[in-house]
Amino acid sequence: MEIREEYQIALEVCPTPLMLVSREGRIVLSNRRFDCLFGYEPGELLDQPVDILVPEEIRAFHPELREAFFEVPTSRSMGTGRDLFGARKDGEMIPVEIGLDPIDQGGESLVMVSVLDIRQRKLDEAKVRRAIDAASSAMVMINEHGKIELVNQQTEVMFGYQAQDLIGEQIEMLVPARYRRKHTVYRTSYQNTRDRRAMGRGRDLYGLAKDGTEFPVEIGLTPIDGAQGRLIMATVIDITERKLSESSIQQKNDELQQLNNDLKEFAYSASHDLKAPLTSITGILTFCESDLAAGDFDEVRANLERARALAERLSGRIEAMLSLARVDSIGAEESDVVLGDAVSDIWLALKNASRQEVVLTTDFRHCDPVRSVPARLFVILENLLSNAIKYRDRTKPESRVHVESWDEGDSSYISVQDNGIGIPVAFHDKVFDLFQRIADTDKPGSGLGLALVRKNVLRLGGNITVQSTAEGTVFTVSLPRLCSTDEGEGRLVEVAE
Amino acid sequence: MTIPIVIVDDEFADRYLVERLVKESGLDAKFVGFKAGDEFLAAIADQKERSEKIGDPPPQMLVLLDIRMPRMSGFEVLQAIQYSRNAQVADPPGMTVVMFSSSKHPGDEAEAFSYDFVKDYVVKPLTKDRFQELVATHYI
Repeated sequence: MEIREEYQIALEVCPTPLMLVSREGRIVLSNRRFDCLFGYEPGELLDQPVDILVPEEIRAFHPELREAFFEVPTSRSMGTGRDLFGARKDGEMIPVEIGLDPIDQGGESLVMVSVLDIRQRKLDEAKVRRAIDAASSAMVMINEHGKIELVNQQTEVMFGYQAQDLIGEQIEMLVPARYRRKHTVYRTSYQNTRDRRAMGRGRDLYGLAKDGTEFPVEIGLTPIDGAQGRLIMATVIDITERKLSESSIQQKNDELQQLNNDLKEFAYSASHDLKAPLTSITGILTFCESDLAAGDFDEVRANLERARALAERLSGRIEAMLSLARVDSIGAEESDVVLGDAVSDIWLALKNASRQEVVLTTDFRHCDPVRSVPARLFVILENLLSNAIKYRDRTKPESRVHVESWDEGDSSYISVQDNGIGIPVAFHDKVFDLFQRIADTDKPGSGLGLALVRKNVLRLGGNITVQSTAEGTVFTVSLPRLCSTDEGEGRLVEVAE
Repeated sequence: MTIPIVIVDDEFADRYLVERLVKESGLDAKFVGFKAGDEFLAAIADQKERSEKIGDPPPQMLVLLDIRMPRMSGFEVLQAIQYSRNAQVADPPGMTVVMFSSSKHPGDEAEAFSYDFVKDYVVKPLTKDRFQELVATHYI
């Protein structure tokens, strides 16, 4: 057929692999580029059924598709929206794009088939795909209506969805419900600026995973404009770890700040409260020298006694200060303590000579034994009991100390009540501060006892309050429930002096 | 004129030391001791107690004021004095206040001298020479 020969020449000069196929599906003509693309010798394809170039899984119904084309012959590309493959002679499947153009040749319907080899493009696409899948952040591309067009692998990992669950869905499905309405507004207004920036400056952002968990995220926005519309690429970083480490650093920082304040306070206290007795002693000894020279031995004796009392007081203060410093080094080892036993042991061991003049009563309604850090519990009880004796009211006929305990909700309470001289209301806030002394006594305390008590109570995760009137004082310590086992609950223990 | 030399200090030994210095100085001075700031303030606010202890009309007194005391610190005493002056309480007693402390902490010093009636700052123990210097500076 001459016409075919003319076509043959035209086909050969065309840079695209081309073939001409008859309505019956026979290859009427193909150019060399075409033969070469499919791995055939020149002319080898002539009169072959076109179906041999079609992947096996399509081959069975390809004739039907072919027939459909001839019924409504229009120039178009084949298989819109699907990935097409061509079968080479050696069996390799190559990705292709196929154009179909109907030709009427003297009443015979033919179709001109142009085949584009898109292997390189596919490789490039795969490379880009691998690159975005290699990103450590989740990448989510949305269109201008907020529909997800593309996600990378990290998005699947981070949010727990498969890519196909996400593609075509609204981006808001990855946003916690309470932010969704706002997010839609933000997204719409972003379309007006379309600048490259971080999302939600100054706000905390959260992502919503498939299993309903929320996690803190940082999101970068990049507009991508092109033939496919006004797209936005959101890059999402899960900052859970960072937030955790930030808060741990913050906590450490607060602790350091607190330690630094303690140190400043300590230095200030030391310059006054530790130095004071020494300066007094120096002054007294100076007089002792002149009294000695003058032979006034009685005055010397009295002053030496004063100097000794001051030295003892200083030694007591230093001891108390060291106890305070040691509060931090007490371990956290808990053990079972029978509170009643602890109270009577401490009471009997108190060095206050006047202990015998004070009546101790107890009413324990907590569950024993309690689980706590014994060293801390002892310091607390010892100081409260000792204070109750020290600040008894000698004008009252009888001095009493009453220790009570009870459980309530998540807390256990221990109160130490006395009928002593009381603390004026104005000083209730101050009593727990370092070196605060409220009463004028002949033998002033260290001013550290209640500071020590409070520090230990706080370390046990509790709190301490004071109530006081002229009738006496009650210190109430609340601690996280102390019950060592649930079985012990409700067991009442009575310990009498 | 007898100079009232007032010490406000909770430490007995420190009051004793000043009392002896006053006695042995040979000055025409009288020693008045208070063991807490609130007691001192109560005394100067009370007409009767003031005339008994300090004199009537109250002469310019030299007040040695400790800083660390129970209930009320020396600074709180200064605040209270300033307050009653601002409130223009009838005839606020004249006084020259000297801070009397075991340590010269820069912050303490600055705070003390922010009151115009605080004229000096003595680090304990007060010696004979320093005491004479105080009287000389503020009274002669």
